[in-house]
Amino acid sequence: MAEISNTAKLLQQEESLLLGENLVREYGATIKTYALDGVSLRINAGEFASIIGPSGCGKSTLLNLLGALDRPTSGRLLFKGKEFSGMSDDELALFRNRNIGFIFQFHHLLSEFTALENVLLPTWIESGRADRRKEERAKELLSLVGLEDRMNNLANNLSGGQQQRVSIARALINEPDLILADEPTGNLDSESTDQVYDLLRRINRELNMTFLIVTHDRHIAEKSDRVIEMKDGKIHKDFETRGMKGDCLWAELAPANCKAIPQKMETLEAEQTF
Amino acid sequence: MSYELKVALRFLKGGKTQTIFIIVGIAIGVAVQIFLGALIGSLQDSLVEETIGNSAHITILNEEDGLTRLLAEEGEGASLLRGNYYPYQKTLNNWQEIFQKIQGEEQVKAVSPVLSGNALVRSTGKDRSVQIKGIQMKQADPIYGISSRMVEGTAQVEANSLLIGKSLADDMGLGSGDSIDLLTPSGQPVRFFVGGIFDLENESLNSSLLFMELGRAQTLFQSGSGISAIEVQIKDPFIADTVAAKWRVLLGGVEIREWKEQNAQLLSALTSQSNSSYTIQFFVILAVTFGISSVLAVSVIQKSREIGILKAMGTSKKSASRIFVLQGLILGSIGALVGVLLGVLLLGGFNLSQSLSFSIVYKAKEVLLIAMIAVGAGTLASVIPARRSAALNPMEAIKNG
Repeated sequence: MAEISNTAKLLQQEESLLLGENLVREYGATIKTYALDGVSLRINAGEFASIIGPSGCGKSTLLNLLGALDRPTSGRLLFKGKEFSGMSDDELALFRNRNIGFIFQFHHLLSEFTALENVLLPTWIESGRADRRKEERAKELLSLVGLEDRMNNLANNLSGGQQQRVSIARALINEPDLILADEPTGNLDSESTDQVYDLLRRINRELNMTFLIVTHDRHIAEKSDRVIEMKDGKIHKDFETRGMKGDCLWAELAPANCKAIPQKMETLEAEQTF
Repeated sequence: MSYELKVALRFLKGGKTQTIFIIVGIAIGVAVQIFLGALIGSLQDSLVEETIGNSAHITILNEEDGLTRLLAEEGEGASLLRGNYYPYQKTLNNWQEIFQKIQGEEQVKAVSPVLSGNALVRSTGKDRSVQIKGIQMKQADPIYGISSRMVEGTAQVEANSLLIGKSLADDMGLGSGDSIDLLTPSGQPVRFFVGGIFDLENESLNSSLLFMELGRAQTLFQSGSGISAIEVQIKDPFIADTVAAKWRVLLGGVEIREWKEQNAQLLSALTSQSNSSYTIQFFVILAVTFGISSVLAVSVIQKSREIGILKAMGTSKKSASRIFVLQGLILGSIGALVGVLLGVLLLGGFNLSQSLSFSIVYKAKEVLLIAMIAVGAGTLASVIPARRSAALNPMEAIKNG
């Protein structure tokens, strides 16, 4: 009953971009494992949200469902009010191409292509032709991420941080409504992490782009507008950070730490370095 | 350019070593096929040419064998020491009529009436047994190609002048204009002149064949207006049997012989040679197909991350498989092209070295067919890897980073 009323409450929200209702994702035929166990979630346009939680809590599974990379076992997914959970593989592919930008932990650029070509790839997939129609736009985006002088470098000849910035530009090229990022800084040093975070935040503010970021890094979560904490395939906490004071926020993000037990601190450090 | 093609090309360029290896593999396969096909084909053509190039493909004779009849008439122990010609041998007397009919047939290339007989050549004290062919030069020349192969004198037969082969002339020390005596089975030596010497590039013909004018031969052998056979060359010698069968019905009352039944052994040898050549070619193309297929299968695994990201960005299943079909097509095409060049170069080298008695010629049609089969094999080989690429789950591919 509680869930139904919760759903009704979610549906009332007008600016909802992406809506998941009672999402269940189970694996295995004989022994069933619930990666997601009845998750309902609404993402609003322009939001900068983080999903946190321990390994195996289902946050990547949730991201895959929201990004139309996977289908829920049950439950509904609506994008701008239109259901997409029942689409065929190719329809989902087209949906992803048009509406969603992806940023992954391991950059996932095509190593045989230059930075510029990697940024252009989603436009090629859209039109079916390897043309230069959107080249100006791609160059603009590469300047936006600060790589205007690295455009013609092969992806392999870029540093980790640079590769991640190329994939941010690539996520933006088809003007999606939503960018999903899975551990975007998980593979970077702290300097690059800050750069990438600042860049994402700037794009969020300047282009009013919606971001949903799965992260282990509680510092990134701290700087998000909204934090969704998951545990055992369910949403454990979901709160806005605005108006919260630092201590209070950290008490939410890492309550164990705030008890100031040194041993617990070490555990957190280990988790961060991943 | 479609983006699938661009990605396919970049993937091939990215895995440079394995791309070059497989292209070299295909090229060698194609070159071997072209070389083997051309070698066997040319060898067979040269054998067939040697067998029937300067002889009749189809011979029309009297139904009744003169020799059999003679033996039957004279009973056991009949002696034929003076050769197998005998004045009573059955000749074709109505040959003009047959000649007319045959000339109108569509397969016919050349028709020549001929009166053959044996005789002894006697000159400067030596005797040689020869085969005489009484011919009309105009009709016989297309079959025997005499006029283009004269060594001495002119290719004309008239009155008492005749043409002899090069080996016979050498052996007997004869030259153009010399006189020779012919001793026919009827016993009378008759004097002739050597009008010219030919070289038919065949030792047995050069040493024993002798051409004379048809009318003169008819007088010599007392055959009246009859001839022994009508010799025919047809456009496609390999259908001589069907043409002969047709003519047996058309003409009736004559015996028709064709070269294929008389050379059955040669032909069956050629057929089994062709079969072994096809078998080798088949296994070569099979090996090439498996080679391409395994390289692409490995490539799908190597590129699964890239395929995953392409799919996450919206690449459809069809496009994901097309990227690999295109790679197969490109590998097959480049391999075929290089292979054709390699094969033709190889043939040229072999011909230059002159280690063979005949030159190897390739047929453009066969080369094209081999190239097309290689391209087809490349495409076929890509089907399974392409399916794997299409079925690849983007989530799994990305997760395995």
